Amino acid sequence: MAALLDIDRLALDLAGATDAAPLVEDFSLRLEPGEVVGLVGETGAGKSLSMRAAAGLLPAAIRSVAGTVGFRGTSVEAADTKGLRARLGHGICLLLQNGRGALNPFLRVQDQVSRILGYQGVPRRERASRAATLLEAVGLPSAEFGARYPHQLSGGQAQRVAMVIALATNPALLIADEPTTALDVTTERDVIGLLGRLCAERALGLILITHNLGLVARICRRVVIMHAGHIVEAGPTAEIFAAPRHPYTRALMAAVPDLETGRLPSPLEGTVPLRSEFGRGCRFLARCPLAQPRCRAAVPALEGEGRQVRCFFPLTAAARPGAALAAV
Amino acid sequence: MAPILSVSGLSRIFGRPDGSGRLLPGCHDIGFDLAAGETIGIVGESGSGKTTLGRCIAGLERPDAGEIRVASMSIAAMDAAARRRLRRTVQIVFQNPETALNPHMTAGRFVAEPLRNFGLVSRAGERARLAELAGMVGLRTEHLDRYPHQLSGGQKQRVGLMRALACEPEIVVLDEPTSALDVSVQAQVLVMLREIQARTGVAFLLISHDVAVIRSVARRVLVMYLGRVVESGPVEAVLGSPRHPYTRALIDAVPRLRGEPADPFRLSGDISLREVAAESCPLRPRCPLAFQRCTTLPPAFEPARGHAVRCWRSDPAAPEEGAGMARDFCSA
Repeated sequence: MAALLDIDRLALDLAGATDAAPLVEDFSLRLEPGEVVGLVGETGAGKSLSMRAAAGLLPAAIRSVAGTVGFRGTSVEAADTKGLRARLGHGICLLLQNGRGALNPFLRVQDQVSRILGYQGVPRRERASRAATLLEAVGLPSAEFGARYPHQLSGGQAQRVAMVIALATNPALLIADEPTTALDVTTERDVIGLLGRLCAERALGLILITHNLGLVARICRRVVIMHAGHIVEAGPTAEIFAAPRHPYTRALMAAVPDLETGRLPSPLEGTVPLRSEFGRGCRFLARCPLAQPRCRAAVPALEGEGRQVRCFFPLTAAARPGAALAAV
Repeated sequence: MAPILSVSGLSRIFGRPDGSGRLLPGCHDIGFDLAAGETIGIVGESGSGKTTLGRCIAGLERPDAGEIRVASMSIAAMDAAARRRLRRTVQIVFQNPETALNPHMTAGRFVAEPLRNFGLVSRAGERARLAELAGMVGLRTEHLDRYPHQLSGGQKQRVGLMRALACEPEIVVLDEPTSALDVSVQAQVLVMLREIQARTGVAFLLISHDVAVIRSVARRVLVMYLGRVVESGPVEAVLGSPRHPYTRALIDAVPRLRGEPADPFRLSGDISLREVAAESCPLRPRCPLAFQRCTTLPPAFEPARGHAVRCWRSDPAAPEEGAGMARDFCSA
C-alpha cells in the first residue's frame, strides 16, 4: 500500500537561481496513516518550505528542482486546480501559528464551522448540531462559544476553533506549523494533548513543525531535525533525545533551558547560514566544534536505516550520555 | 543594604468596579524588593498582570495605589529633576524586537539618542562608547550602521538591550526578552544577560512566561495569576518544590526533553476573570483543591524563610480538612 505521504529526495530553490545551492536539498520523509512526526530546526532551516511543498502550496518564488512528493500514491506536483482542491479540502490540512488569523472576523464561531461542513456536503439541517459536537470535542461548549465572534475568543480558544475547522474536513494528514507558539503553556498542553488524542482516534497523520523540542518529546514518536535546508538527523524521538548523533542536535538540545537543574543553557554559536553562504561542504561547518578538513570538501549523505544522521563524524556511544548535556 | 527597588501594595487596575464584586484586570497589591545586581523573575500566563507590573516600574503606567521606591526615593514624591534621573535609572526592553526599534534610524543612531539626551558622553567619545556597548551585547561595530530591516530578530533584540544599557541604568525591566527568538539565540541572550550583570552590576526584572528561562537566570521569582502574586521566593524553592497549586500546574505543563511528570497536576478550564470574585482566591474556580476557606483571599504563608505562598492549603494552623490535604498535595 502507498504511504500517506512520501517525499523522496526533494530539492527546492529560488525560481530564478542558476547556481546549484538549493534552499532545501535531499529531503525525504515517509509517513504512514496515523503517524505523528516532529519537524524541528531554527528559523531558516526550511521546515515550513518543505511542508508547503508537501501540500503543493509552494510560493511563486520557489520551485521544486528535484525529487518527488506523493500523497496517497499520487504526485502532488502533477495535480491541476481540481486535484489541488480535492487534496487540500479533504486530504491535507494546514494549521498555522495564528489561529485567529485563520478565522473570518465577521462570522460567529458556529457559522464558521457550519460553512466548512457545508463544503463537505453535510446537509444544512445537520450542520449546526455537527458543529456543536466538534466544538464540544475541543472543550468549547457551543452554548457558550458558538455565538461568539473571533475577537471575543482568547488566543487558545481561537486556535482550538481553527483546529476544529481543520478537522471538520476530515483530513488524512494535518500539517501543524507552530500551532501552539502563541499560547500559554497550560493551554498549549491542552491543545497538544487534544491533537495527539485525535491522531490516535482517527488515524490522522500529523507533522508538527516546531522549535519546541519538549513538545516533540511529548507527542511525536519520530523526529526530523533540519539545519540550513538539510535533514541532519532523523529517527525515533526517544533514541535521538537520549543520545543525539549529530553535533547540531546535541547543540540544539543543550540550548534548551533546563527546568530541573536551572543550569544556564549552552548557546549554539552563530546563526543558520544564508543561501549565499552555503559552501560545497557540510552546512553546519561554521558552527560545528568538531569540524574536520573533510567536512569542507563535501556534504555528508544522510545515512542509516531507521536512525539516520548526516555527519562524517557522528557522535559515538562513548561521547553520548554525559557529553550530550555538557557544554559544546 | 537598601534595595535598589522596593515595591509595596502596588495596584494598577483597569476598568471600574461595577458592584458585582468581580476581580478586575490589572495587578493587585504587589510587593517585593530587588537588590542591586540581582535578577528577579516574574512568571505567569497571559492576563497575569506581569507586563502591567513591569510597565508601572518602568514609569509607563501610573499605579492606582501603592508605592514604588527607587534607591529609597518614592517615585510619586519625585520632583521633575528626580524624575528625569529616574528615566535613566530604570530602563525597559520590550518583547517584540520587530517593533521596538525606529525603522528610520540605524542601530547606532538609535542607541546614540539616549547618550545625547542625557549628555552621557561627548560627541567625540560617542563612537567609542557605542562600540563598547555593541561589544557588551555581542554585536560588531558594522551592525551599528545597519537599519532594523537589515538585522535579524536576535540582533534587533540586542540593539534594544544596548539602548537600555546606554543609559547606564540601575534597573532594567526585561519584558519577555527572548520569547520571539529561536532557542539557540535565546541561549546566547541569556548567557549575555548574566555577563552584563556581572560586569555592570545592573539589576534585572525578568518578565517571562517560561519557567525554565526564569529558573536559569533569576535568583528569586514571583509567580503571578490574574494580577496577584500567588507564590514567591528563591527559584530553587518555588520552581523546584512548588507549594501553590497554580505554580505546580504551570511547572507540570512545561514540555520536557526527557521524562514528563507521571501524574501532572492540572487545573480545570482556562485562565479567565469570569466568575472570579475579588475577595476570593483568584484560582478558586479552577483549583481542584479549593475548599470552603478559598472564598476569602489567603494571606501569604511562609513555609520557609523568604518563600511565600498565598494558599489556604499552606496555612500551618489550618483546620484538619485543609491541613490534611495540604500534606498530601505537598508530598505528592
